[in-house]
Amino acid sequence: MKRAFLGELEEVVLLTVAALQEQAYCALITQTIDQQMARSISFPTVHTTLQRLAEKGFVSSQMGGATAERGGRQKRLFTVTAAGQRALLECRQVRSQLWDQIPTSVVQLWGA
Amino acid sequence: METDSNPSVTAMERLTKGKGPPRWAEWLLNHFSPPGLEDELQGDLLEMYAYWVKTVGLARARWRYVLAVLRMIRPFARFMTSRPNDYSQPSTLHPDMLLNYLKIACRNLWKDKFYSLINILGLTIGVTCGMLLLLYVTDELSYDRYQAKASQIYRIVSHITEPDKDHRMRSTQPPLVKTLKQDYPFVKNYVRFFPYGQVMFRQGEKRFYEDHIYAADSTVFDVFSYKFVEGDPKTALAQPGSVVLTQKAAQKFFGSGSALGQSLQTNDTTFYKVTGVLEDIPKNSHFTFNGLLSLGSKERRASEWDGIYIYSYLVLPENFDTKILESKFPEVYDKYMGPIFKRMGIKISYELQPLTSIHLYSNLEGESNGNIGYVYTFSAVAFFMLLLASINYMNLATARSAKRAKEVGLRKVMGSARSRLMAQFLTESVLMTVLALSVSLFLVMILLPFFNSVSGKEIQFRELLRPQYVLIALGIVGFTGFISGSYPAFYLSAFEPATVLKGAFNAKGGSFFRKSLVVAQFAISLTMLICTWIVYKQLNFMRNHDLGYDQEQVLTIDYRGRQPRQQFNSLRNTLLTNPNILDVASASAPTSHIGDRTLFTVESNTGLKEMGFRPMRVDYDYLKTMGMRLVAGRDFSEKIPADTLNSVIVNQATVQRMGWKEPLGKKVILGSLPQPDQPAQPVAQVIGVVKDFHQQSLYSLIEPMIILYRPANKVIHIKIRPRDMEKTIAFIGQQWRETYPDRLFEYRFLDQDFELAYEADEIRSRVFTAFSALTILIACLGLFGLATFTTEQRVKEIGVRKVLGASVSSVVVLLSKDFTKLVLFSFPIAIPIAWYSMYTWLQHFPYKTDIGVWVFVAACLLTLLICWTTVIYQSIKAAMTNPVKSLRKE
Repeated sequence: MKRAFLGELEEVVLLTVAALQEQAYCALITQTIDQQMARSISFPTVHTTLQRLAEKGFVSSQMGGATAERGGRQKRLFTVTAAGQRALLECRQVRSQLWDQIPTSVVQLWGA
Repeated sequence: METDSNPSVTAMERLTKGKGPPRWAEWLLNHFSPPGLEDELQGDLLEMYAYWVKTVGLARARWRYVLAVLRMIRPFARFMTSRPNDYSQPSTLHPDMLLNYLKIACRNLWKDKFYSLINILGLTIGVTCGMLLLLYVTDELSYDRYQAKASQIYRIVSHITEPDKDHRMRSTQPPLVKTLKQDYPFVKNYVRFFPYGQVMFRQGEKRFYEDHIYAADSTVFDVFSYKFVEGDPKTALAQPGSVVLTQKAAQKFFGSGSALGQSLQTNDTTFYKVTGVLEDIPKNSHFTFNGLLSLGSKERRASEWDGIYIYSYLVLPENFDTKILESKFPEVYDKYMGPIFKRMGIKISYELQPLTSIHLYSNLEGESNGNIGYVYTFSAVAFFMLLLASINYMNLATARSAKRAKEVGLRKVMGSARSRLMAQFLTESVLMTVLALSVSLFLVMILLPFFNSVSGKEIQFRELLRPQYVLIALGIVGFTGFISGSYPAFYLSAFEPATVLKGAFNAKGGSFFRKSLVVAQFAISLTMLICTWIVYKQLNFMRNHDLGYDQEQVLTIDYRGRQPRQQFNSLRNTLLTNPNILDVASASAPTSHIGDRTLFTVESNTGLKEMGFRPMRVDYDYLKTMGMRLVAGRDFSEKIPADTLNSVIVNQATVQRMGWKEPLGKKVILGSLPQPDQPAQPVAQVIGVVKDFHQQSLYSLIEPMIILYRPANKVIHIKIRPRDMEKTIAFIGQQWRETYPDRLFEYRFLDQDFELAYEADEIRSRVFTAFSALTILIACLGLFGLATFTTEQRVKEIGVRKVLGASVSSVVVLLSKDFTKLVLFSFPIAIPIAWYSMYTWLQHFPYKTDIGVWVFVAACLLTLLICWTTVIYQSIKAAMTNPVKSLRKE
């Protein structure tokens, strides 16, 4: 399989899906990103991204639990697939490699 | 996949009570979500909305909601390469779905052959009649529209006010249009027709009488676009002594050879050269002729203002406001005619009639035109027939809904949307109509000649293939298919799958609606039945009404001109030698065509007065020959010489009009009051009063008339014995030819004249009768289907009843009772409508039959009887069934 490229937005969304575990659905994902990353990504954008991730095979979905807040409508719950997991891990690995190349003193100078 | 419906209600309530997202955005999302994503998107957006309201406030939340919706809905949503889930549904109008509807529809038709047959039969009758009637109506509406300048041509109508009477006539004075053209430049062209009536043409040794001959201005072919077979329209009537014939007339004179350049003569000195042959004037023209002569000698008289006898047409510019010209008429009248007519005590005004409205809207003296009222009536009948057939379909479809209910339930459970179910049912009804239409087209082709002969039209089948009729046919399919399919579609597709599949369904639902439809059907049929009956009764009344004289055994010969007295007397004497000839007399006109009112000066209770009466000049023995009875006084007598000048006979209407107590001996002057400068007219006395007889058909009132004596008039009446009629007539013919070798022997019986007058109504009544019979047939077909169905439903009930001891007759009564009730309900609806419309219709007739209660009673009984015969077969069959058979199952 050709290695799928994971865009920055996709990475964020995929990470959030992973973080939310069983509870990952579009509205909650948008809200989580909004709150935790202090970064406002619009709902349609998140939705589109999720669809793109599903097409790439990084997430799978099934319909589940309706609640009163959402007018009794079902949610589409996303889970990270094995491919998704691999992609995330790879991503992290690449980053930590780069981090490792920065001398510790420099990093300390940044105030970390 | 558990869906709890309660929270949704409360959530919705909460949201709509508080400030929810914009309604329209919700609606958009509801209807235009990408397929398969409806649920999640709506839910997610609701949650997001709540979140936004909390974090950024109401206004911005609403704004964001709208933006999000607009980005998510089709066609803005991102194109999806793969299906999100397996429950996606194709569009209702997807080609695959259409094929599927058609397939299922065919299967359903085939499965219930009996009901399909009843439906298709009813629809076929409805559609066939609808098409025929529409053909009739469009033909009526097409009159004169083939003329190239149809929208610009107008006819002038004269409205003449005499001291005694009002006329509205289609004739005018000859110089009128010519003067208009000279005085007002906006009048582009004109043409006048001078009626010659029947003309005898001679061609070598051959003699022919030709009807409908006119002299016309040479402009006629600029105004009217008649098609030429031979000759040049520009020059055809330019030369004096020219004649243009129609193809039919030309064929009569010259056979199949070319007629152009041939010559015809009307008497020894007048010759006409054929300068053109026209295609026969289309049937849908208000004005037809067989030949047109050039003006010639008529031109001289064409400048006289006092005669009102020609037909004038003029051409105005496109979209011209006719009021402009009409406002000029008084001016023209005062300038040219005022002085002439003032002396006569007459006032004339004019109006313009657009060419295309003459056939349907004009009803002037001496015209027999169509009538817009009948066009409406026939359109309504066509509409009702289609409606009735549609009702049949609706009734049977909903009555049998129990059978389809499970199918609907199952389809819904399997995910069919309501729109798809409706499409399915509509396909079935449209398929049915299309089948009916194809059979109808075939039927129309076969029936058209018959329909033409009944309705007196000449409609060709190929007319049906013209685009407008194809559109009409498609319209009929669309209308009928949709009307009949829509109710079942709404009704059946609304079933709740849970209820239906549990088996708790019963067909009672909608039964009120169904019953109302049956009542409506029978109300319509009964109304038509009663109307037909009364129309028929009125026509019969007119035909059998005592006219006041003998019309069957009186032979009438028109001499066409005044006959030499000598020869008439000798003819009369020879004829009377035949024992089968009872009487011979002559009169100035046949009884059916007595001339217009002329002025007499009559002794009234307050002195001499000028008044108009219908004059008639007759021979001795006229009254006897015609079988007219005198109520007072005596007939003209050869023994009293004064009778030739100084005696008149009046009819009862005259006596009544004058208010005479003692009519005999009253003075009558033939003409106006004696003027000092004019020779005195003879003064006559009333010597007899004849019992009123009808001078015209029963469409007109009996008019006051004065009968004068004059010998050897142009119309000869011969009373003969009914036996050996042929021989007697041959004898008369032989004597006639011997006496008048240069006159044709053409005879007729008086009753033929009257048949002609009633023909138009006769035709309409025949058409009406046929269609009302078919309406009842359609209603009965529906009833038959319904009866079959309900009896089937109640088979078990009947079985149980029979086991418990019910007799066959009681079961039959039980089954027929329901339908009888429905038919009874239709009576109070139909009777007032029928009574009112017929009452209005009869007002057109001065002599009318009474409507009579028994017509209603008989029509109602007949309807009941027809209903029973329809239902009884099914009832008896059900009642005779052995209960073992019906109760065996289960």
